[in-house]
Amino acid sequence: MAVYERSYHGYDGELTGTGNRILVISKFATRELFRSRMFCAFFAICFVPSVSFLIAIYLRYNLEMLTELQIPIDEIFIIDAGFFINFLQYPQASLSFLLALVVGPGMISPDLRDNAMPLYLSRALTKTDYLLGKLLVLVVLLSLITWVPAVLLFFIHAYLGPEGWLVDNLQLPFAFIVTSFAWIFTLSLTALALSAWIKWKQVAQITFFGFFVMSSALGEAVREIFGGWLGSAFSAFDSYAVLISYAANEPVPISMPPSVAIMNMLVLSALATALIFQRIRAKEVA
Amino acid sequence: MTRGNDAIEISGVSKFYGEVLGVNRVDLTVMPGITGLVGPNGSGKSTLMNLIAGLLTPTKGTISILGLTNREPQLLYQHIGYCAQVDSFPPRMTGRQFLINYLRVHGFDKRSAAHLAHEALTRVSLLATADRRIDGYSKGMRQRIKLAQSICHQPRVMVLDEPLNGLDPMARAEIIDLFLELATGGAHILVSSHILHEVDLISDRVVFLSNGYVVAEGDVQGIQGEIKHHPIQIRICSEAAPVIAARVFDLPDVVEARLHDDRRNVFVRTRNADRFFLAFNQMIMDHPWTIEAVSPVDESVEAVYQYLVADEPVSQ
Amino acid sequence: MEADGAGAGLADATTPPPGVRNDQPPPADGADLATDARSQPVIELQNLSVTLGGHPVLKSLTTRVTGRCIGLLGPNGAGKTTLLNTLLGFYPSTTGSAKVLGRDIRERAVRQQIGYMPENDSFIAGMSGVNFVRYMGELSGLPPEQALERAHEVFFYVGLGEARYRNVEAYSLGMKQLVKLAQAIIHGPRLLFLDEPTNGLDPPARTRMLQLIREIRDSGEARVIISSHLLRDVEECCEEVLILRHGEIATYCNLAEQRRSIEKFLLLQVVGAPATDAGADPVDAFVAGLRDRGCEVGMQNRRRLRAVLPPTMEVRNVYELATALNVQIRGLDHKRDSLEDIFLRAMEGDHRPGDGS
Repeated sequence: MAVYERSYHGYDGELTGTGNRILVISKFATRELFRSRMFCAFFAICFVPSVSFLIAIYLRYNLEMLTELQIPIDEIFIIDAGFFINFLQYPQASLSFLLALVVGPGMISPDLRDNAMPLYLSRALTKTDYLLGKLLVLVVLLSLITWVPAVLLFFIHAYLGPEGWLVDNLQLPFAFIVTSFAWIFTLSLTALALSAWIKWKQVAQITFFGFFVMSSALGEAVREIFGGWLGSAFSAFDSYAVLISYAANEPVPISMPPSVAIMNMLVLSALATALIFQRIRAKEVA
Repeated sequence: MTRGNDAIEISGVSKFYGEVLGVNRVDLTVMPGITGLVGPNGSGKSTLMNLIAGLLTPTKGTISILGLTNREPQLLYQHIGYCAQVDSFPPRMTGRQFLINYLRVHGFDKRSAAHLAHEALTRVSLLATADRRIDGYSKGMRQRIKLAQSICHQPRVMVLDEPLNGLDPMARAEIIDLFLELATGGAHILVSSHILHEVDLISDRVVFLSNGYVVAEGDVQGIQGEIKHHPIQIRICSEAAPVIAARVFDLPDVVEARLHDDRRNVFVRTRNADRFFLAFNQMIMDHPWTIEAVSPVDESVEAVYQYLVADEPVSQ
Repeated sequence: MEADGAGAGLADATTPPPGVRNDQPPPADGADLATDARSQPVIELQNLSVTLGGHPVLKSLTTRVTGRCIGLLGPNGAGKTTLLNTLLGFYPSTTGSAKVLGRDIRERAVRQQIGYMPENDSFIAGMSGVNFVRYMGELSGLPPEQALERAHEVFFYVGLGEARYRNVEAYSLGMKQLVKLAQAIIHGPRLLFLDEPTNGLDPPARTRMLQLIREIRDSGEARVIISSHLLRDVEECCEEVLILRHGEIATYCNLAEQRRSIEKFLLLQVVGAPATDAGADPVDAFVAGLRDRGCEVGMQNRRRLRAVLPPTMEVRNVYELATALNVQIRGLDHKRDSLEDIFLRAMEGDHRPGDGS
């Protein structure tokens, strides 16, 4: 017979490592996200272009179906580097932008709104750990709709397509991965910075949208009026487009030197990171 | 019972917010001096304070504050100072400006306002930081400026909700002295607080609220005496505790004498305090006991609170 | 009202019952004194200085703090909060060093052993109570299953069992305080920092909070540091106090040792028979009688007296006089230094070297 009394117990069990703590932040943030059915639907839709392009590649190499439909293959379906670039640039750049818009601005503000930062930072967590945890969510989600499908499509085409095409075009997957990451980091860090500084998710989202779209529109307008590439130096979209093409050894749509494009993204990322660290403090210095 | 213009009379007052109860059928007369107001969160304390400050109108019943009601706001608010629990200050103002503004609104001319503001700031010890912006004030300073606002126009009635919140121990003592000083001057000071021993220390009378009802009011010893169904408990500390326990149990009204584990303390319950003490004092004369301490365990705000208001043990 | 020391189902005969002030701090309940490690310092400061925004806030603090439960006191602006924040790693130290539980505060791992209950509201809206605390537990390194188990356990322990599935933003003030405590203890830290733990709590909630703190202290599993303006709360839980003033240590002392009982200084509560029209009020006669015999008597009000007895008088003599005059002595106590006295002395600059400073 025994009587169990409730009293305070210390904890002597095993502890997870630091890396794990970062993943905990990501895990909980992701769980929150996928609780919303709207988001699940949106995320599913983001895969539609990938699937469409996959079908296109498949069809290209399955002539029987096409000949039945009497479509002139070689003219329409030219699958070369440009094909993939188009893929990344048009549907996926916009979709990744939208995904960052939906996910990013709500990641940090809930922690700041009710003063939860001291609870994070009083534990064996640094501000860097915190940022990495949140960033990881965005990086993974955005990767799934940028370079991951692009690289997969590349290899599928290499498998289905002509001999030797793979070797000739090996620079493409690397190009996709590197430039996509640059794009992902720029978008994610900017979204997180806005989340850290703007309390209301919708306002942060509008600001995010405005910032990128305005800079893009402005860039185009400047280019129209003054010629040259200067206007595009401030537009992240244009920088991305330039970088992909350059990295893929393809003709560049805007005659902006790639170094400028890289600077654009780097500066934006650095600025955003600095802004984030400014805000995620446990206590304000009086 | 009318007492002219010296009291706050609350007759048959109920306040409902839709179907939600604030206070129900309250009858109180608040005299000059310090009156403590205690009760758990949600017991109607804030409602009662707002009613007395004239900020709410009762759903039923009447409140008369020094002969006035809130149908004559200009006359009434001159006499009332209110210190709320929440902070809300206009931005970018200094402490002094804030008070002067407040006084001007009350109809004082520039010179009087400056003078009164200065006096209030001195009383709450905020002179040094009076010309800094309230935005930059610490919690303790904010509390003091709120207090200053509630006393600067020299009202006769002060309604103070948790006035010592956020103050360090020295400031608490200072402000308590301020209250005692104002009370001696004839003001009605109503203080609501959760810190029961402080309420015990400063109040002449205490009002106990629970679930919207006044469950007791008066001075604590008097209330205790009236709670007939609870025998009063007394602690006696002495080396001779075991012997005392046995002897004391022989006294007629003693219902319980319990020896504590440490064998130095006896807890005695008796139905008649007066008779017990007289008899006990005599016993001390007749025996060679050294008494270290005697304390009535019940005659405190905490004890009465526990009997009347709460179900759980309240620390003493 | 049970006052025999058995509260909340824990058989803890060594905790003094409410209303009894022992002079000795109660020994740890069931904990082996050797592993209780009262000699191991909780906090060690070595010339710790912290400058914020250009102002020096903490000035070269040096001390060794031991003890199970320590009160951190000081007037506003003395540096209490800054010290707390520095030990938690929120502010960097300008010079000097600090160790907590034997490890330098700059090591990240030391915060593994720390639990912190902030003064202000601190939560994440949109999460249920148990989910929030579980999250905090996992962030502290608990494996997920353990975190979930302990989250539920801790909710019941603090008394919030029924509300654990509700969202935190819907909790009342008292409940939010308890949740803050819950997230501070879920990972079983060896050191707890509690900042104004009874802030805004009504009396029953305050009692509960203090009881929890005492239980945690007595379990021997964690040391507790409480920062508060409410000296009574600190007196009820803490054995030692560290008092700061103007960024320096004014006092560090053990309460029991400091509370000298002053033999001849009595606090009396008296009730006289009602005064008759002709005669004097018996209480007045009593006071006069005491004064005649050489006592200094002060009247706080009609019922509370303070009397300093001359060497020739004993407590018995006071009773003699009272009996003769038909005055009941309802309360008798020897004046002791309360924490308030110690605090006020510290503020006046009466520096006392305590143990270890």
